Amino acid sequence: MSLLRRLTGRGPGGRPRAIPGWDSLDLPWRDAELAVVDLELTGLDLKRDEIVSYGGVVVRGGRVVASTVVYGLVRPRIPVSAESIAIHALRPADLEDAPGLDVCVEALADLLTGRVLVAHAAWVERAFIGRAFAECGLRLDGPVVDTAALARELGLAPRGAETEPSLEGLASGIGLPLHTTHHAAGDALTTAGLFLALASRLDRTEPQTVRSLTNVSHRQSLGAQRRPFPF
Amino acid sequence: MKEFLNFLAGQDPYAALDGDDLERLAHAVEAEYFTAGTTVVAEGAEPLDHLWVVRTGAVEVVDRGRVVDLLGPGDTFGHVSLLSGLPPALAVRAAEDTLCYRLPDHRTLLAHPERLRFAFYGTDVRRDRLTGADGGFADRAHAPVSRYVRPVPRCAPDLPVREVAALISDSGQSCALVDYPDGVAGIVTDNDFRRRVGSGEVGVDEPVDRLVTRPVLTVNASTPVATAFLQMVEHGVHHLVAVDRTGRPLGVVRVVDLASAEVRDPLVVRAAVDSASDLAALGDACRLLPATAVELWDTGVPPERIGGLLAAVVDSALRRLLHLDSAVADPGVPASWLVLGSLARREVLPSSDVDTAVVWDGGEEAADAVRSAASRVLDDLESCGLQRCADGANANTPTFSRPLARWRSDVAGIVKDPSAEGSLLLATMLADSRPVSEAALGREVLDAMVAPARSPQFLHALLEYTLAARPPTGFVRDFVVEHSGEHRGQLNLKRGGLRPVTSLGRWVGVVTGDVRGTTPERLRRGAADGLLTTDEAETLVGAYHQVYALLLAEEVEAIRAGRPASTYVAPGDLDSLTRRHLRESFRAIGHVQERLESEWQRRLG
Repeated sequence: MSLLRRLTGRGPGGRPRAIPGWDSLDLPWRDAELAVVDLELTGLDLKRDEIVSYGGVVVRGGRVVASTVVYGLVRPRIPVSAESIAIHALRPADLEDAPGLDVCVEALADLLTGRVLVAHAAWVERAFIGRAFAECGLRLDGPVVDTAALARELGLAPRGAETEPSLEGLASGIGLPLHTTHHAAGDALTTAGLFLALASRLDRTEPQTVRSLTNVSHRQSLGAQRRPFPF
Repeated sequence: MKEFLNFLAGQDPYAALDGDDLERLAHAVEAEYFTAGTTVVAEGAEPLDHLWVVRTGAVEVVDRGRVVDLLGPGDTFGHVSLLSGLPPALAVRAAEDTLCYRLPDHRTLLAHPERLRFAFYGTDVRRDRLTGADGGFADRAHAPVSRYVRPVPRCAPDLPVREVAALISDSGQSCALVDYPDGVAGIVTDNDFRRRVGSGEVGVDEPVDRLVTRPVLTVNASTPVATAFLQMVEHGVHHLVAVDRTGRPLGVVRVVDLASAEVRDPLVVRAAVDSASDLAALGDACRLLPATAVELWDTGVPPERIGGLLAAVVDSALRRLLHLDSAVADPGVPASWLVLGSLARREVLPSSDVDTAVVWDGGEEAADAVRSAASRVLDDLESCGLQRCADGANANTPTFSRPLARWRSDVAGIVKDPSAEGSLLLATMLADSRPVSEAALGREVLDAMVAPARSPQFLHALLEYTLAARPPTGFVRDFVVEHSGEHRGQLNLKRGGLRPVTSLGRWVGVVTGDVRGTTPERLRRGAADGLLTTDEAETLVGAYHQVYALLLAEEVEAIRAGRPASTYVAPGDLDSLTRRHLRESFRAIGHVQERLESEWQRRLG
C-alpha cells in the first residue's frame, strides 16, 4: 500500500485525495490532456461484478499517442460469467496469475491524474473505476466525456433509444480503422479515434472546450437511467 | 497497437522494415483527425520534425492556391521537409474528413532507417483525373517536358551552404543550379542537404561546392514527358536539368511534377479501387485493368514496371474486397491473406490468376468459418474479373488455409524433412508469398519458411526441384527440342523460359533467407552473396526480361484482339533476331543450371 500512498499523496488525516482533472475545463479540448479508458468486466452488475482487464491511452495536443498505451489484467474475486467470457475471451485460467485490483487502480490513477476521462458509454467505466478507486482509498472526481453521448448529439446514434450504440458500428460507420475488438487496449484505441472524429465534427458548429464536451456528455447520457448495455 | 503495425507493414516504404523497426514505428504513431478543409501542413511553416501517413480519407497538396495532387490511404507526406530541414514548400489540407498517422523522425528512431526509401513521385492521383477531365494518357505523355520546367535559383560555387538553403527555401523550390566558370553546371537538391548536411558531414558555413553534383543529368526540353519520367526513375534522381538545343540550362524538371501530371493511369484505377463502396463499383474499377496494361505498353513503359504496377492494383483490389466482404463473411478470427506466385513477386501479367492462401490466429475449429468466408471472397473476386488459381492454390482449400500454429509446425517439418509428397511444391509456393491483410500475422508463415533450422536434405532437395524446370534444349526454325516430347513445334514461354529463371531466383531467396523482391532483385542478391557470379546473375536477368516482355507483348495483342492470350509461340512466328536471342537465353540458363548442379551437389553432399 505504500506505493499507492506515495502515488496519491494521501494527507496525514488519511482523507482520500481526488484525482484532479478540473483545471482544464475551459481549455479547447485539443489543449487539454485526456485519458481514454476501456474496461472488460465479469458482468454489468455494479454491486457484484469486477474489472478483469483495463486499457487506456492518452490524447495530447489533439492526437492519440500510441506510446502511452497501458493495458493489464486483473484477478477478479468472483467467477467470470460465461456471457462475458464470450465477449472478451478472457477465461478464468488467463486471469489466475494476474495481479490484484490495487495494481490496476495504481495504473489508472497514474493515467487519469490531471487528465479528463473519456470512454464509450462512460457511465460504465466511471462507475467501475469509481468503485475500484474507493476500495483503495481514492476518489474518482473529474470531468467525463462519453463518446456514445457525443454520437447521439451529432445524430450518429438514435436519440431516446434505450441502448448504447456499439463502438465498432460507430467507428466503422464513419470510416475509422478498428483496433482489436473486445480487448481493453484495442477498444480504448478505437474509442480514442472515435473521440477525435466526434469532437472535431462538433468543432464545426462551435469550437469545443472540455466543459462543452462534458456538458454534451451529461445531457445525452443514458447512464442515469441505467439502460441495458449491449456489448 | 496491432492496427498500427499491420497498417504500416502493408505500406511502402514501411513494409521494407524488419519486425523490430516496425514495432518501434508503430509504437511511435500519433493519430490525428482533420475535418474537411482543415490545414494539416501550412506552406512555409517551420521545417517539420515528423512526417504523415494518410490512414483514411484524403488530403490535397496545394501549390500557391492551386490543388496539384490528392493523396489517399497509405500515402506519405511531409517527408521532404523532414528530410531536407527546409520549410514545407507546399501546403497540405484535408480534402475530406481524414485520419492521419504522424511519425517522428525515423533517422533517430529506427535501427535501420536506410531501409525506408521514400518515393518522391506520388503513388497517388488527382481525383479529377478519375472523371477523365483531361485528355488521353498517351497524348499527355508525349507532350514535351518543357511544359514542366521550373526556373530555380542559381548561385556561385563559393556561396555558403546556409545561404543556398535560404535561397532555395525563399524561392519555394527544392534545388538550386550552381554555375561554374567552365560553363558545366552543377545541382544541389534538398536530398543533398538531407544526406550530407543533416548527417553533419558538411557544415552550414562551408561552400556549397562541397554538396554539388556535377556534371548534371540533363534532358532536352523537347523530350517527351514519359521519356523524362522514366529517365528519372531509372537513375533514381528526383530532378533533371532541362537544357535548350545549345545545352544552356533552362531550369529544373521535378519528378513530382511529371508524376502528378502525366504518368499515372494505373493509379487512376487504384484510386477507383480504393474508393469502391460496393462490389459493383470494385468490379468496374478492376475491369479497367487490361486497358491500362495496353496503354502503359503503348506509352513505352518498361514491361517489368508494368508488372509491378498491375500487381499494386490487384493488391488493392483484394484488400478492398476483404474490407467490403468483412461485413457479410466474417471468419470470426484474425486472419491474414497471402498472395502467392507472380503476384507476390510483383511480376504479374494481365491474365495472371490470383493465387492466395490464408493463415488465422486460432484453432482448427475456426477452419470452416475461415474457408467459407474465403470462398465468398474468391467468388466476389471472380465477379470483378480477376480469376482464382486454376491449379487450386486458393485460400478456401484445406492445403492453403491453416491456423498459424499448424502453418508453423508444417513448415518446420518440411524444412527438416522434405521427403513427403508435395512438400517442395508447398515450400516453393510459400517462398513466393506476401501478406496483403493483417500483415504482421501473415509474415510469420514466411519467417518459419526462412528460419535458420533448415536441413541439408531440404536445401539439396530444393535445388534438385529448382533445376528440374529446364529450358528447351534448342529450336531450329519451327522445330522445338524439349526435354520432354510434348508440344513439339511450339514453345511454352512460361514453362520453358520464365519458370527456370524464377525458380533460380526463388532458390537464391530461400538459401539466403531473404525472399523479398522480384526475380531480378533476388538474382542480383544471389550474385552479391556469392551464390551466382555477377555474369550469371545478369545473364539470367536479361533472359527473364526478354521472356517476360515477349509474354506481355502477346497478352497486349490478345487484349486488343479480344482473344485469350497464349503462352505458346511458334518459333517461326518470331523474327530471326528475337529467335536468336531467345536461343542464347535458353543456353545461358542451361549453363547456369549445369554449373549449380555439379558444384552444389558437391558442396551439399
